[in-house]
Amino acid sequence: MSSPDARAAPSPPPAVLCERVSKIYPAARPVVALDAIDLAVRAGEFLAVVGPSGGGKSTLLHVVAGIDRATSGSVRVGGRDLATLSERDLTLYRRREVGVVFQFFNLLPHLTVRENVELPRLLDGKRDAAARAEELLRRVDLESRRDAYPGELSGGEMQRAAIARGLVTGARLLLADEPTGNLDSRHGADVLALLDEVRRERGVTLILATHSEAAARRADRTVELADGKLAPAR
Amino acid sequence: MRSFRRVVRALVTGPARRRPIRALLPVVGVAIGVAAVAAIHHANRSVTDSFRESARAVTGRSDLAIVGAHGVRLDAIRPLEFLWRVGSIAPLLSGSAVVDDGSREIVALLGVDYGGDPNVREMRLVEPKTAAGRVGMVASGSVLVPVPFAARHRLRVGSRLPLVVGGARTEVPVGGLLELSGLARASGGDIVVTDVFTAGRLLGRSGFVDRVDVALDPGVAPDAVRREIERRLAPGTWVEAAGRAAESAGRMARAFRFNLNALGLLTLLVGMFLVANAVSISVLRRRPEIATLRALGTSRSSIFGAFAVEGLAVGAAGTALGIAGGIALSRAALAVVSRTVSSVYSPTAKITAAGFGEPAIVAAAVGALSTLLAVIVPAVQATRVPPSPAMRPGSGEHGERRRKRGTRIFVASLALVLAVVLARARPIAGFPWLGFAAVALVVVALALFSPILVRTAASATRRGLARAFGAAGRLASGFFGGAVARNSIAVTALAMALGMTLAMIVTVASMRETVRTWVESSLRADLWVRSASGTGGAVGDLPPEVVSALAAVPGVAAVDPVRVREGSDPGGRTFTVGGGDFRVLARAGGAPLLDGRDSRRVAAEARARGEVLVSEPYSRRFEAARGDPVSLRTARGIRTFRIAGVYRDFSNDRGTVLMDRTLYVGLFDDPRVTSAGVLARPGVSPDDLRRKIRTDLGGRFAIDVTTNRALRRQVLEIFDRTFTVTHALEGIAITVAILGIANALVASAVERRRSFALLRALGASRRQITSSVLLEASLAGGVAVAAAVLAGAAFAALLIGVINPQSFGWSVVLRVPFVRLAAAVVLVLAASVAAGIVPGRIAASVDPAAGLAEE
Repeated sequence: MSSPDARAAPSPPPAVLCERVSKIYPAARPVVALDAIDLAVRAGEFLAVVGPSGGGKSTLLHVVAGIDRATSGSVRVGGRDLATLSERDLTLYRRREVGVVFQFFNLLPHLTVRENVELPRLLDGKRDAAARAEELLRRVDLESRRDAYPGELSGGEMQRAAIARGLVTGARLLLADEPTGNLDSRHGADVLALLDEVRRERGVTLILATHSEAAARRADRTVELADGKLAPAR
Repeated sequence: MRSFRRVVRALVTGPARRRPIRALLPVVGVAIGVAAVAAIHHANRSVTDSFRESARAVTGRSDLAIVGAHGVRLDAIRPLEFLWRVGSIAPLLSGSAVVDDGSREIVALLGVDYGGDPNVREMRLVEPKTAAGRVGMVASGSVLVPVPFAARHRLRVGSRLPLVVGGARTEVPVGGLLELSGLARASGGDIVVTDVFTAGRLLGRSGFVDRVDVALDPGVAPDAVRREIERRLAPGTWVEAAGRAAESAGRMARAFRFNLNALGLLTLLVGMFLVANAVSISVLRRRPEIATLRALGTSRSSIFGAFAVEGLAVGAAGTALGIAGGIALSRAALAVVSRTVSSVYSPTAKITAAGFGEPAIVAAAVGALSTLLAVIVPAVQATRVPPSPAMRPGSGEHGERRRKRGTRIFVASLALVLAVVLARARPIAGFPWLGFAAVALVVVALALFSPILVRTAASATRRGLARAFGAAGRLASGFFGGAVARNSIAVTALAMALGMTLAMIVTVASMRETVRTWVESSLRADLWVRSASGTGGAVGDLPPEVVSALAAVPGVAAVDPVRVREGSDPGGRTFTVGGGDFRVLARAGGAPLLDGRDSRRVAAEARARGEVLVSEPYSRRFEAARGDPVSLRTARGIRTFRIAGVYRDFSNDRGTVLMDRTLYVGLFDDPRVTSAGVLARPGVSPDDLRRKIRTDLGGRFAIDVTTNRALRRQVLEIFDRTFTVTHALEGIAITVAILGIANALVASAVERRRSFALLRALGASRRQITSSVLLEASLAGGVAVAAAVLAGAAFAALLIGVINPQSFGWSVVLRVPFVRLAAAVVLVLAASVAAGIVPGRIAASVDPAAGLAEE
């Protein structure tokens, strides 16, 4: 996929670098969700993480998103080790540097589509939140549904709104956790196409956790995560 | 049955075990309401029981009582001696006295016939034990006192008891001690018993008794005896059923007690909203479980039953806790209520605590009933949860928005129109039942409008809050509008409690100002002279000689001897009859007339024409106006007078017929004086004159001399004391309502775990989430305040314009104390925000990973 010239040039630092990352949930029999994962994702790359349910895909995305902390190992995003960030800085990281699209849409039901989209930027105290939200709603073709509530949208529309929300802060890293898992195949394909398009347009790094082979085929690279261990995709 | 138990476990007991604190909150709300109802009911019950017990102790086992406009002359008893052949007769003379040993205790002084009395009234002598001693006791003109009274005042047989009675200081020998039973229980055992002749001498009523009780032998027909008595009675005396005094005592302070009960119920009503809120929160939170159970074939009745069981369990626990709290509260409530009853209604009233059994049963019944009512609506809502959509994650009450809005507005408007119609209706049996119904309808309208208010406030503040507080503001309005059902119940409860408090603030301030103005315009004398009690109230009366003695004091311009006593009309309806010197009224004014005419001119004309004035409560109670006739039972028989005018009067709510003293004395043979107003000559200082009167008359009469200023202060002090318990109840109601807000917010915080986790994942700081919850709490408080101001205005209009005049007969001039209202509003707003602190912390502490994993 990369040109020989590009290969010859000095490689840019990876956007995401996981080194021996483990996540163990304490219990009577501790659950190892991630087992010493090593993973590097280049800036602008579209990486698909596939694997069975319970294999650790969502946990990996949560750790990279700063939603959860790794038990051991280091997760570097943009050169910063998330483990060293204070609670406050981790909050700011989530707010400014990463966008997340979830399987269950996760829009706040009592806010309109526009309000949901502008929320992360509003959390950052940015005055242009409304304007940026409008722009992104146009981009994801939801301009006419901006005053609707999530309950009034179809699954595909909700996921498009979630993508717009993930991009509104101008984050360079977008994480999508089974974004088509609750959609029919046509809407699923539309959402994947949209993710791919906006990634290219904005130079965003995209990590997609998915069951879908069709979704994985769109990615630059695919890795498989099973029982917390990473393996190159077959 | 087993499947129902499983449903209950899935929907009720399981969640309650997981979140015990939340399950406890509505229990506390009901408990506070039930405690208030139980304590108030107990205090009221104690008042009525004490009055009735006292009246029954005096009435004994008599079947009939012979009474008169100015009592019964002793020589009028002689024609009744035939009664000894069919039963027993026992005369009774009663009055009040102050124990002059430094305790200033007020006691009832009862004069009885030692010979006839034991057949009518139970009286057991503890001492003296020998027959010789008892004969000596009768002969000496001594008094009998109950054993506990004697112990308290360190008296024994042979001691001398110092008394102020009938305006004089005296000492009476203690001739015997009574067991605390029968007659000795009158006035809570604070009595002094003597023979009718000694009592007549002490009370200045020699030759008279108040009543002659008649106890008939078994098998004697009372009607025939009654007819025979009536045939032999002198004019101005009549026969009545013996229970009448107890009945009349039961009616005493009825309006006051009812108003207290109403406030106690308000607290419980607020608690009821808390239960309704808790159960509807359970329904909302468990929609997926309900849907699953419904999908698995669980019947609607099982779902209804499970939530009904939850509500009833909350009600039962709250009621049990509330009854225990009520016992603790009852002492304080009784102290306040009995002080008010003593100062406002009857100075000799001694209120003893009634048993707590009946108040506990009443409070339990009211608590159970109110909980049952509170549970019905949310439990029915639970049965309507459809099996499929509710199982979808994220579905909740959002789908319920905008439904039935038109119906709500229609029914609420109808309730308000009906409230206006009822407010214009006349009282039923002298009581404002329809006024209270109008208040209930305003509450119904408030409850129906609340969801609309919540939704409107959420959308109206959306932009403003986002602009002012950024994301936290946006979230607050979103969350607030997103939980309409839950928030509107909490808002209704708070609006109701605050609305009633604001209305009471306006009503009390208006009444206080009206009373203050009334005191200024009616208390025109410079000094007031009363029999010495040292208590600030009028106890007993003064001999007529005090009038001429006062008039002779240098510096006195005029004396207005006022006589106040119970009177009745030919139908037996009782009220107050007063006599005053209308010449002084014509000179100094006072008795401000409702129609604005000059009371001085009207008093002069009334005196000349033999007409009377009636107080506003009399006018309202008996629907009598200027120009109407008033018939009174007098010592000269029934006399009818024309009403010359209606004057404003806040001294009692029974109503007063006021006439010139000359007319009064001529009709009632009663020259004694309850109090005397003294006008100082121009240039004479009231304080100097007070000293002079005390010096000149102190040796002859036991009197208290009060300046006009001090008397006004006393009146307002009594007024303020009367409303102490009211303010306490309002405080309790507001506390319960704030608990409701806290409960709703805690429920929201728990239910929105996923939303808060998402927000944290999106980069919301803990502080932003806490702020959003605090802002939501402020919104709830703000909407409740706005609703409370509107509801409060309606409540105040009903209290001042309908309930107060119909209960007490007093018309009140509106006064709005803006500063106090603002203070109450600010306090409630602050409390609402504070109610958001714990839920805010719960919300902010949600772990994003764990919260999102819950989906």
